[in-house]
Amino acid sequence: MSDHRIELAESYYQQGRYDLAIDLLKKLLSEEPDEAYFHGLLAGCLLGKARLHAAEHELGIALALAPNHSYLYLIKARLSYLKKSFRDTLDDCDEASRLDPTNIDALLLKSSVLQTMGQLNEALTCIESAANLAPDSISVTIAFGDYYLNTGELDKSEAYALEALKKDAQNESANILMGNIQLGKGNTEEAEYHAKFVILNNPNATDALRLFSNIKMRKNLFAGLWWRVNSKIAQLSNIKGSLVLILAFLFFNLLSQIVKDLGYPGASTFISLFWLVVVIYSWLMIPYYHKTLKKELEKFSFNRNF
Amino acid sequence: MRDEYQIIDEPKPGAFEQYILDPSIILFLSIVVPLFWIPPFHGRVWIPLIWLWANGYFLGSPTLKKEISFGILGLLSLILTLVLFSQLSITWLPKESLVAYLRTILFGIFFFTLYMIVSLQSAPYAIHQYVKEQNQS
Repeated sequence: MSDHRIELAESYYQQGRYDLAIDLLKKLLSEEPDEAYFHGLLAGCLLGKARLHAAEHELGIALALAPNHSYLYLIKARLSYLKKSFRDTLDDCDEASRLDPTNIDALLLKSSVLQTMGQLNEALTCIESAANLAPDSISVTIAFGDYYLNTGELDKSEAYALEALKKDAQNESANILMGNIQLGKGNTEEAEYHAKFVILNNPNATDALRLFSNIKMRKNLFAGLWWRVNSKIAQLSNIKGSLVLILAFLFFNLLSQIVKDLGYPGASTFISLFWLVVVIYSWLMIPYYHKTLKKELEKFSFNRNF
Repeated sequence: MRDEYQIIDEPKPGAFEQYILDPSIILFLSIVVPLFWIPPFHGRVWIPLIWLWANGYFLGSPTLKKEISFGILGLLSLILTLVLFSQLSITWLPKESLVAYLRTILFGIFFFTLYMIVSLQSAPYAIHQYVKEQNQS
């Protein structure tokens, strides 16, 4: 394992340039197929690309090769989190902490899960435990900021975001946190500044791109509604998301038929036309969104890696 | 030279690679084409399914079995709905209305089935496109 390519793959992984990291790790695995760390890192990259099935497979190989590695349990916890198996995530975080009691990432991930589950006091306790382990860690400061952003205490959250930015003004997560806080406060220009700052430094920062899209689409009268609905549906699983769309289809079409049967053909036609407009609007919004975002991003002077 | 390590979800396209199409285009065509032309022998139901399955096969899709299973389940649900409707004895609704309700429900099941297959196939298709671009550059 004395290869500069490993450091390069790690660097790509940290920067969120998962495709490049995957290509490199595939080459490394062709040479050393039994290296647990490569399989684990590859699983992490695949998680970043939302290729959950492949990530699970790679993680299985990694854990079979090195069953007592805290880092692998942290990846496993992230996988469970993305699969929305919150109980499994908590167990994996506990296992990662048991194998390495100084692993603050496991505590911070556990805190995020507990926040999602609505167990806010326990979530805060986890961040405080991480703060005891690493009082100067910027990740802990950002975790406090994220926590207060989630609880709606924007001023407290802003204080932590400022503290994090004082520690490292270039930090991606700190800038994204500040951007989200400013967006929550309605200061869209300031939010945009932080999103742009991150994107210019790292055009692959998906959270910053998401924040940027959020700002642009909210400002856009034509696409704002579509963006809000689409963001909600995107949070659901594939099956749940498509069920929502099909239920909407059934609701409007059956309603139109019921209204017709009740003797109101005009209202029935209106409902059918309304549904048709909704469908056409949704179809048109997809290319419109990509075009608008591309136009906005073209204003940036990116490096050639974008 | 060693073979490159292959990740489990990477597609393995065969001899028919040139016929691979974006699955969302197949979905779009299966919605739009019947507005202008109705294929014979209930083709609007089975043509998109066969086309998506063939596309998955050409792609070497790792989720092909799931895609086929979803399609079969969808077809079975359509048949079951038809059987259930034929057993219903609703006298207070005119037959045309009953047929309209049935058609709406059948379309709901059909589009849900297609959408599930397309969403499964989209991931390997995106990886296939990425690998193709990498090979070309």
